[in-house]
Amino acid sequence: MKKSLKFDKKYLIYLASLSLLTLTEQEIKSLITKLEETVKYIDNINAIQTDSTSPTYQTGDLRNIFFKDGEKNQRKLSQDEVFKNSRNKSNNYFITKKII
Amino acid sequence: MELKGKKLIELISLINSKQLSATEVFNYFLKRSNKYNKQLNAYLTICDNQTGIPIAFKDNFLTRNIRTTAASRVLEHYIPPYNATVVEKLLNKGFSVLGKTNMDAWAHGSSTETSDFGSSKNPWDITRSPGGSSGGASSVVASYLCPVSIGSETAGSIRQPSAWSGVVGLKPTYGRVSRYGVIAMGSSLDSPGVIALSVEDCAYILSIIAGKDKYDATSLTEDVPNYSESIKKNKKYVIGISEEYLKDIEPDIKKNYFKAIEIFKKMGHKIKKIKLIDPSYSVSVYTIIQRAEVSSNLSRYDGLRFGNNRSSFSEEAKKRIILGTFTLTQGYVDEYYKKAQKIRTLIINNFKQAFNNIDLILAPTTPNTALKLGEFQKYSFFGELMDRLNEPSSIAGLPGISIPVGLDKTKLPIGIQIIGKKLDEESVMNLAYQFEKETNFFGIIKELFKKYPD
Repeated sequence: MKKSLKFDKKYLIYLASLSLLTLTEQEIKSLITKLEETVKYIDNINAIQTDSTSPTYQTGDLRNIFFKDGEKNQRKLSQDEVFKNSRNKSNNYFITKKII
Repeated sequence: MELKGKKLIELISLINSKQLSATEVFNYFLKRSNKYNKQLNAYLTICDNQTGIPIAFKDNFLTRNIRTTAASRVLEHYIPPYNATVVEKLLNKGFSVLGKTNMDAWAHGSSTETSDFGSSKNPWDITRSPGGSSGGASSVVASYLCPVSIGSETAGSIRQPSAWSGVVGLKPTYGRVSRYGVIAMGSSLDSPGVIALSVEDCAYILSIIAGKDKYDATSLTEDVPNYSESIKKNKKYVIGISEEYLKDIEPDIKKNYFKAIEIFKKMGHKIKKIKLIDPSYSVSVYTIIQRAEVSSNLSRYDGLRFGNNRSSFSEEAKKRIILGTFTLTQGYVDEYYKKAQKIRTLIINNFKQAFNNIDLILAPTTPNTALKLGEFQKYSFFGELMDRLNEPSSIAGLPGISIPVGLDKTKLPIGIQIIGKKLDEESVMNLAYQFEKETNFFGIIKELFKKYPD
């Protein structure tokens, strides 16, 4: 059941690419050791039987929280405020690299 | 008038009776902050020309038109267009932002050493860490650069630096205080809270910042009690203590913890042994859940709409994002992420069961006192290990407070924590307040103030 796990360079670079991150050679070396040690530690969770337990994703016990119909958003931002921190913009559009 | 050492509520009372103006108080702390910040690196930004009661915010609380960085180069020049709800509520009550405090970048750590702007120093010994991630926030209160600060805790980030800095740190129930406008780390865990010199100051601030916020769907709807009044009802409690929280704890911490138990007994409280799940499982559960949530939350930093691009993340953030991505990857999601959420249920049930027979839990806040700067690099997951006594209650969303209980043999402060039932901040602070009245926290903070003259 348990998969053997090796944080080699190739796998680490793959995970980094999924996370839109690039790593330096030094970071790769450091992260392989740190991630392997961490995963080795967190594997202690396998000692706990959870077959009949439901997961808890949040502790608040809240359900279906919505704004009331017709309620005004008093904290909405103006376009000027939204674009204030953007360096790449044109006529109230953010400029991105080509996506498709 | 001698202001040094006055608690927040004493300063407010002087302002209300017109013996002092808020501006005079602000300028007093501004002067002290400018004088000592070079040495302590506790603030990333200091604001002048303000007229309200001074308060410092950890730099992950958005402050309108005041730079907010989360101590990361990604947000080095970010000027928020709006205030976090907590900030807004305090400004409406006459407070002004004195400064934005240093922290571990994105709150990733327990020492401020992952800050991209250099670590903060512990006012007790500047070769040591003040703890973290709210280390700047604990440092400014301990050195009296600000009478009170707002921190945030995902698991330990208020209680641990408060213990290491010798001040009072309150982590409320998850959802008691709005997260709107707080730069997210672990969204199912993050809890804004208070760092202060006294329990009364914590109660005063919590009464202002707690409550339902329609802009945070996870904020709780229950009414906010008048904490300042309720902590003064002299109640007797049944206090639970657990052997599991005493493993690998420094002898001086144990000694002072047992000394505190004797004091509580003498005050008429009952002590009862309880059995809690070994915190080492919580370290794993917390590491998994938090990394997964970090990976998701930090995906918004693409440099397109604000901030620098993802190449500005430092190694600690990259490590957390990558592990989070891993635990959420198909093939591992059930084995790690879902399994951790199931154990979270067991941890919650374990606390619920314990609270059937007791009112509050008493434990050391940290396994050791403040470590030397540079120690964190020796560990693969330093923060999680330093915070292991806080993680179980954070995972369960429970409130807790760290209070000073003396010094170790090297003259570093020791903290103990009181953990309560969900939304029972009243009892948590009530017992802490009784202890403060009884012991004055052994006068340790007054000793430290001597090192930092006006």
